[in-house]
Amino acid sequence: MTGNYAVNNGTGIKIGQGSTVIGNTAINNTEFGIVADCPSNLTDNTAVNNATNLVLNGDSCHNEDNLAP
Amino acid sequence: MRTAAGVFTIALALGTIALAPGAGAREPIKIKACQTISQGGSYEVADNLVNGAGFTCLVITASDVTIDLAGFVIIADTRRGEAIVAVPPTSERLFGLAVRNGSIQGRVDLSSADGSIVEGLRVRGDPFGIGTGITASGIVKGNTVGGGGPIAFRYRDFRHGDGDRQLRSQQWHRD
Repeated sequence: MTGNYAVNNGTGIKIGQGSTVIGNTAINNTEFGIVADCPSNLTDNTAVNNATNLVLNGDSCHNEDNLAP
Repeated sequence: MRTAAGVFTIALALGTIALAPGAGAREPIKIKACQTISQGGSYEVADNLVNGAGFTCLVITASDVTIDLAGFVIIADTRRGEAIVAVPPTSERLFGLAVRNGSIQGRVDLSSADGSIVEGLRVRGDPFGIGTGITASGIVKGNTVGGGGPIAFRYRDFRHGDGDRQLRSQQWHRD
């Protein structure tokens, strides 16, 4: 999935194993910004001002250039 | 000589018709009310759709369906919150659905289909608080979901072949 925008929800983006997730934005979600089951490829995503910005479940996720402080 | 000129005129007219834009092209099937889509093909929403009857607005029961919202709005019934849902008529999953270019108040659930395309939707993510704004696998691109639903996007990418069908089922149920 690419170029999507999730704002003001409970959880922004929930991703299953084997997914490619590039250039998405999750902002101001009250629980999680991005939650991913590994292995998945997460690149250039933005998750800010969520209760928890980024959660990677399991090993071997490709986590590169994501902004999730 | 007059006969030759006549033949030329007719041939020119036929050529003009054949080359005219849209000649021979089939138009998308217009959608003017909530309904079940049970045949593959191209569909185009032709008006805002408001579902107040307690049912899902657009139910897709066939593969290879393309729906262009053409900028119109689908407002789901407040009791169900379902705007567009894929429902296979058998145990087989659907394949190759596309939904694009419009606004949704409610949710889009293509979890029973593989290889979907969902793009250009503006979803007021399930304002009824009972589900996910967009659920799909395949290509999910350039959508916005907001408005207070529990989950905005739920995404799976199932391009691993048939071997993970069981895993796929487990994943869906685990959530």
